[in-house]
Amino acid sequence: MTSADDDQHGHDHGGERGGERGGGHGHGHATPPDSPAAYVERLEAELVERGLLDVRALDDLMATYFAEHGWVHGARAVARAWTDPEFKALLLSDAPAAFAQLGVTNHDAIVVVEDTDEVHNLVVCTLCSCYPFWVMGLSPAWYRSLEYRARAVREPRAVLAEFGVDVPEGRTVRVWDSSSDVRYMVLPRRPTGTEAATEDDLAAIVTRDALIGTDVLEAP
Amino acid sequence: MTYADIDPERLTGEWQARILGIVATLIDAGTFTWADFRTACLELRAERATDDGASTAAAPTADTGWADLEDWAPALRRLLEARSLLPAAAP
Repeated sequence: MTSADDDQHGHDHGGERGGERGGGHGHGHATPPDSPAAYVERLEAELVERGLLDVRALDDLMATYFAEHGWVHGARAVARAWTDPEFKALLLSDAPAAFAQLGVTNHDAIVVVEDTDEVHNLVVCTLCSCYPFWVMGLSPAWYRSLEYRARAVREPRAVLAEFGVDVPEGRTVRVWDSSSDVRYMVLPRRPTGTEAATEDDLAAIVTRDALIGTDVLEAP
Repeated sequence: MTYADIDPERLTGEWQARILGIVATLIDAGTFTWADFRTACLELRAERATDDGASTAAAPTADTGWADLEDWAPALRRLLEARSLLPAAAP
């Protein structure tokens, strides 16, 4: 099965607005000069130049935010799923309910897809940059790039290889197209050699890229 | 206001996070208050509604009008210009 076979196109991306008055999607790549992203960049630079904005304070604030709201929630869910079969079943069948058990709630629909010996999952947003921010933090710049969005569907194995993930021919690569209607997160395979690890230990080895599908986890 | 007051549900990308962070940092620094910023957002939305020829009945309400992140950067500039902290932007 190819990535295109499983691609989930045709979603409504209307909830992902980016243009100041419509248009654009706030991508970090090739930022259009009249986009909100460019406006924010210019404004931030001007505020710093005039001494109105303390970049260190801003960075501290952002770091605090990401410590609390980065991919830690996704990592916690993965670690819990690896150690609690009932939670895993709930995560795969009703991810919002599973995240709610961790105290994480959001109105966005999210589906968690499981890596197995037979299937490797990869997440992309082909139209813009839909991403479950609330469990995976900020999306990486490459996730929003036109190149990744196009190639992840067209040649997922080649893209994965560039991330250092070699998927054997006998293992299916399944590509999931996130949208404003539904966003995807990967439940990666638990690394061998972690049988004695605690849930906290396991959460610490989960990477953001593994939640997207562009990383394979290994025991520390 | 602290960063804990920011609703992560509204963040869907980097520029959204950045402008929220900028506003929160300036509020924490005492440059203006959350109420000041909220008012600036409301005024901007109301002005745009008038410019677009929309009915004033469609103007944002106090409960919802400030929440559009796309307005945050221009509203912030407007607020800082009004306080002479930034020069007026070229038309």
